[in-house]
Amino acid sequence: MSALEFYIITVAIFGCLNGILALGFNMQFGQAGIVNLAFIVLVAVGAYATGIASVQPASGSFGGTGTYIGGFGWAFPWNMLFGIAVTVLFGLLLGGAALLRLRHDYLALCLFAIGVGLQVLVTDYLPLFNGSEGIVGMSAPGQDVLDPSVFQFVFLGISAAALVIVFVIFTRVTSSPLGRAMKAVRDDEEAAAANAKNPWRLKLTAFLLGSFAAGVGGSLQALYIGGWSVQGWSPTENLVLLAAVIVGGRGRNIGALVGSFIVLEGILEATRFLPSIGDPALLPNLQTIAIGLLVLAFLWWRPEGILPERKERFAKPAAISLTAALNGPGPVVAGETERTAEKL
Amino acid sequence: MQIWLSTLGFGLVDAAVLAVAAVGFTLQFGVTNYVNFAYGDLITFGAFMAFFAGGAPFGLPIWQSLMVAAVLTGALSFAVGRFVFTPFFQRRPQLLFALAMTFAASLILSSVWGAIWGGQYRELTYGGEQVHSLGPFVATTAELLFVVVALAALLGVHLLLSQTKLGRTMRAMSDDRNLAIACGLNIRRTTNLTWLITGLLAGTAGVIQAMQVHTFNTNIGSTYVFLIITAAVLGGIGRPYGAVIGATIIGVTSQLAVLVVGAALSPVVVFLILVFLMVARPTGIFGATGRTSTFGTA
Amino acid sequence: MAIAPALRVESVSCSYDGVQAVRNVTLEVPQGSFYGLIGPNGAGKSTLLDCISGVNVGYEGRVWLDGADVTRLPLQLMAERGLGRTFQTARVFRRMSVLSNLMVAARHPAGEALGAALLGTWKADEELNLARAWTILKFFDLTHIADNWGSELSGGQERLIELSRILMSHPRVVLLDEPFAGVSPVNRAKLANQLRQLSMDTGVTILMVEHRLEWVENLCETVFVMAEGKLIAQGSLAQLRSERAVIDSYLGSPTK
Ligand SMILES: Nc1ncnc2c1ncn2[C@@H]1O[C@H](COP(=O)(O)OP(=O)(O)OP(=O)(O)O)[C@@H](O)[C@H]1O
Ligand SMILES: [Mg+2]
Repeated sequence: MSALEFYIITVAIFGCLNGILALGFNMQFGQAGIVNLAFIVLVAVGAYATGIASVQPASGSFGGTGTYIGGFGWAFPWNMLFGIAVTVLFGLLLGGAALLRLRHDYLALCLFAIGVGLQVLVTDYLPLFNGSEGIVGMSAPGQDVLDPSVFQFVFLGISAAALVIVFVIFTRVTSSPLGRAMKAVRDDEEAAAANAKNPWRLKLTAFLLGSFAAGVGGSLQALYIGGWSVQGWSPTENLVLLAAVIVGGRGRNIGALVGSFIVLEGILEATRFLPSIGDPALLPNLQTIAIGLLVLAFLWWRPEGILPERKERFAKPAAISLTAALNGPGPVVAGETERTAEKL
Repeated sequence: MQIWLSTLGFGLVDAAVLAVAAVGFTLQFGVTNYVNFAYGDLITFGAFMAFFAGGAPFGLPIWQSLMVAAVLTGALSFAVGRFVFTPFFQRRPQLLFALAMTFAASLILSSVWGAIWGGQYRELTYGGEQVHSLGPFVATTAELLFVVVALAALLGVHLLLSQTKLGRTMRAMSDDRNLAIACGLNIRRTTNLTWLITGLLAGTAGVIQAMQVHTFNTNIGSTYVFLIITAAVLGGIGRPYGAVIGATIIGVTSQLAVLVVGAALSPVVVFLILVFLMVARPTGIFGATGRTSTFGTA
Repeated sequence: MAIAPALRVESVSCSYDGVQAVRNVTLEVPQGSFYGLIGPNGAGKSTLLDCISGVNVGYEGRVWLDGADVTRLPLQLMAERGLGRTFQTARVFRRMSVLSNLMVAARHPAGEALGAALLGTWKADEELNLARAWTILKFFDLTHIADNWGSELSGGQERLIELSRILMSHPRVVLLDEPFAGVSPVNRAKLANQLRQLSMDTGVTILMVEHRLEWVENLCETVFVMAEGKLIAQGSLAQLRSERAVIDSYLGSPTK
């Protein structure tokens, strides 16, 4: 396998993983209208949880300096399943608390602050996840035994399968009455409630689905990279997802995937081989600026994105009588028929 | 006992600086009714401006550096507010877009700072190491001066809000924007000046915070914003006086928490306060203003 | 045993920091009736509807729906118990098509649970709801805009969509806040017929806030009058026309 092939597969793997995350972010942001600028925290939870489930206990590892909780030494897929489960649980706590009372910009502000606060905490408090050094030493399935080029293909297979699974699940949700109700809550929470939708339940469902995708994506990222630290979940990573959804098209799964591809390959990968000038930190900063400007440009000129949200398509309706339409299955009304009879 | 009291003293110093920052944040939110995620990046900018004004070739004394930094940050805030944010909010008033926009703007700014100034740490100190004891408290000369500057800034805000027409217009816009518009108040001018004033506050807070922690890099603002937002939310977002109380509580609690749980875990306490507020009392102590105050019951 | 009134409001009061918008209102709307609620601007009519429907749960007093105590139940629980309402400014889901706007209101479509959505066990329900939505659109002559975005409607169309959406959820009690506002004269007569037919055909109980008295007279058996937060009179509009308090506060004297 040539270096180029190896690189292309690496890019494809990250394309799949980022696509999973973009789908998750879109489920919250585009589908349910939750501006979760702490989405990346969910990804980090998945990655850390998978990390501490995979590696050996802290004592003595990393040259004796590492300190972290857990260290179960579990193999794939148990470490990944653990990571996903912990993320969904964390999403339940965070979403359940945040979505209970907060709306709109207040919700966005508090989630943002929570994200920053957790970043500060994990960096400063070493016993949790080894501070800014992070957790290293987990290995992806087959990485230790397989030939590197074979392993690349294996992991690409795993990532692509995960992407397909998440995509199928999400498409089933968004094209169902559940997805429709989420959109109603997104468009007008009060009017949705006036139509007997429970906004908290619907938003929490979207939040949990997003957490699920974050868990899958974060877990696989940690396994593939073989480590996870604070740099992996900076607000910049959240901007990448926001850009993917804004560029691709809010509220449309395929849009999120296309946007994720454009942002990832168009900006992050295309600029990777620029001759590095000066500070090694310069390139990431320039990339972030470019992505930020891309977001602003789309918001200014084409806020609906490249693949705008579409209307639902319906089959041809059957003809029924008006009385049937108005009196179909509903809450049983005592004495309803008599009253109608009386009036007529 | 002594240790508790002196820690309380450190907490009050922190609180004074935090109050300046939080008042700026909350005032800007109240008047413009949009969350500005880039506020922390203004703080960073202020710290760096003071650092450069004090270094070669300018070599300004620290007080002049502080003023230069505050004015430059005010100017930056005004420019961003007037020429980027306001046109944007007019073109895309939907909340979703506004939030996405200031978030993107925040990361653009912080990356610009990162690209120009790199990741290394700088040092900004105001000598004044001599320790004084005031009753039960101990503080260095520098810390006392920080408190004085912060209190002066807060007094300035108080006079602005209570004594001037501009301040009254700001409060009116914050309490009921539509009513303020209906009353024919000069919304545009007030908004522009609010960007300027809150930038001044961000710059001032940034410089003092940098001197407090001695060494800082371009992350100083983007992490400080955690405390700022929590203080503002605690006081009821949009309420400048509430923000002062919120900052006092957060500043003191997080210092006292250091004694109990250690420095690394002290953010946890602030974090718990924020989570408690989210679940139990989102409007903070004094009730939020503006759009956020309408919590649907659904 | 007598049938409980569809809606009973007892001593409801509500204020917005300081402003007493509704003061101690008590009223009853019998099953299957079509009642009106009138009063000058700022009388507290919309606020009363907000209290009843649970948009605003910060009120004092009690509310019963079909004999069940529903005091301070939030909006979605009221809706679940069969209370439908429209808002003074029509609320349409803007990033959904008109037909989707109706479909979303179908009561408890099976596919709203995560499991059912994933398994796809909601298609049968969907067919019936679709037929109902289409028929209701036809009833209001709206089939030509069925595939418009919710954001692409005229004010009058928005009102009709909101009303049709309510009908999708089989309400037993409907609160209408100025349904005729913004509707053209020709369509007003049509809307009045449709509302009357609705009331007759489904036995639904309607309480309507409206300033256009000709339609109130035309449709409502009994009318409540509110002024300055208080309920000041009740009766048929013909009776009310001669009541001093009502003339002074709302109708104005005919000589003016
Ligand atoms: N959200 C609010 N905040 C503060 N005061 C309010 C609010 N909504 C209504 N009010 C006040 O409550 C009183 C009653 O208002 P309401 O909207 O119920 O009147 P209304 O009878 O529906 O009038 P209209 O015929 O104009 O619709 C008014 O004095 C109004 O100023
Ligand atoms: Mg009204």
